[in-house]
Amino acid sequence: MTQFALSAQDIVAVRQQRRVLDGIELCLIPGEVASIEGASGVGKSTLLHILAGLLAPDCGKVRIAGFPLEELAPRERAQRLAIALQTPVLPGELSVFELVRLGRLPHKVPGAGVLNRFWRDCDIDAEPIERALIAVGLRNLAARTLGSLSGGEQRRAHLARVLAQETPLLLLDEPTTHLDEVTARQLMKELQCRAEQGTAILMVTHDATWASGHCGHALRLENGKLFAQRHNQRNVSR
Amino acid sequence: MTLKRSLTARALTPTLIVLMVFAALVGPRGVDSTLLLRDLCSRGLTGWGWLVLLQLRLPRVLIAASTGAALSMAGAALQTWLRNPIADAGILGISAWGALGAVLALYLGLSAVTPWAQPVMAAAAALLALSVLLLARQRTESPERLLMLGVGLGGIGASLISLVLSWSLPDWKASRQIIAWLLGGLDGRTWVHAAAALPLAIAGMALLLAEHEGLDALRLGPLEAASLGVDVPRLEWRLAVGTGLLAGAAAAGAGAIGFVGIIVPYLVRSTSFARHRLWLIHSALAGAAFLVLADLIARRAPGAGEIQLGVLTGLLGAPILLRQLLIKQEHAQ
Repeated sequence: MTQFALSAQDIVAVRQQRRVLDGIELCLIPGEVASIEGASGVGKSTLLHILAGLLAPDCGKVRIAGFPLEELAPRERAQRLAIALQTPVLPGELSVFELVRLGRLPHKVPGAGVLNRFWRDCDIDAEPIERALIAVGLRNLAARTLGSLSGGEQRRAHLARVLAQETPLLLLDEPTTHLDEVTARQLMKELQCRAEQGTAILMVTHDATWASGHCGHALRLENGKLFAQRHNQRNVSR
Repeated sequence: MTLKRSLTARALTPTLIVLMVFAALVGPRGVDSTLLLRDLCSRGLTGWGWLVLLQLRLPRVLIAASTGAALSMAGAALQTWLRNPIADAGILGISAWGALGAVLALYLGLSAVTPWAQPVMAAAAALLALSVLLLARQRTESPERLLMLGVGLGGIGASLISLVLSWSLPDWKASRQIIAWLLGGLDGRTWVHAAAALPLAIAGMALLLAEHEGLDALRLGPLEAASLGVDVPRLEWRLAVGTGLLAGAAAAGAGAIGFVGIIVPYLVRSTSFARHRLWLIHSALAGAAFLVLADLIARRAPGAGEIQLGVLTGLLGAPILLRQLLIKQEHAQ
């Protein structure tokens, strides 16, 4: 039996008496890169939030690597999936490094050496932080505060935070918004590399052309239903 | 952390210790401090100097330090929680409700029965106000709306205090006690008050410090914190209980003291903003030092008697807050 990295069954979401999502079925296997396209306001972000467990569906079930999402403790959930929000809160006074460091929070063992961890200013997870910073090209700006960065750089810092979580499932809401072409290509290269290592990636985008060029599996959300757009074997990394 | 920031952070503990020792040795205006020192040197633990130090000065200094630390740490936690740099127990009405609890304990005569009545009722009323805010938090995502709700809640608390005060007017002694308490001050504080306020302050601080990682994540908003594995509802309840205990401890120890919770965390922000583990500790140390210094000034100020501490923190704090707001506005333009 195939072990799905993510599976969603009969997801229904009702917002202001409108069925935004109407019986969504979705499966993602490890190493698969898929995109969900659709017009603005069609419910793409709502679906992504439900898949990440940030929003409860009115009906339906989500499983992460076979485990029902609602049965996972918040920390366990964050160890299995990371989500890049469309409009994240980025405090201007926080440095890029400090933001990316927060991505390692779910991997800290609760209760283990609490006092030691409290008093010592150590970063045992320096490597994933470094990797994430290099992936988005922000290594040289790690000490800069978020407030001093451009919109694109802030977006990259947020993506680095998500990548630093190093989870087997990545949910990305409009990941290339505010990114220049070079950085977007660099990011996609990194995502492909992670997919080759078994990370399942689901991206939400309103840019169908961009999605067709980078994702193996393209889906379209329309009238609350998910339609298979095309299957590009070249981009499926298994 | 730059060298300047690191030095500022490292200077906090020695500054607090020096201020506490100095404040313990210096009495009100008109009292010669050298007499006390001379008695301490010549008669040691058997003289009147030791009694003054132990029974009058030390509890006062300890309550000043714990109140400053409690208000500042609660302010720092609330500022992150509500993502608003001017959030503190005073602005959110928590202090007003804490004060209401304490005023009720005075009015009903419970504080004469047991010294625990005032801190327990202050903490209970502060927790009640926080519970209302927390329930409202589930209905609105907007920190601004929550802040407005806090202001409204504070207004209700202040009106209820006025009501209790008006009821107490026929009883001259009770009404005078309530007014003096409302002005905020440390005059006449003893070990009884310290024993009542300190455990609450320590419990509240421990609770907030235990949640430092959750607070780090919460700075990115509740949604992002949840995506980082933080149980946000549980964290918010713990923050409510922690800040409620601190507001209760401060209200019970020193009465109504304003502005400390806004200004102090704001001033030490640059030394340790990134990590709450440090920011909470730095805020507590700086808050303690600020209030010990303010109490020292209040005791030695020229005039008919002591200036009430709450009045002084308002006079010192409001200009600093206005200055910071104006600087921020200039930067924004």
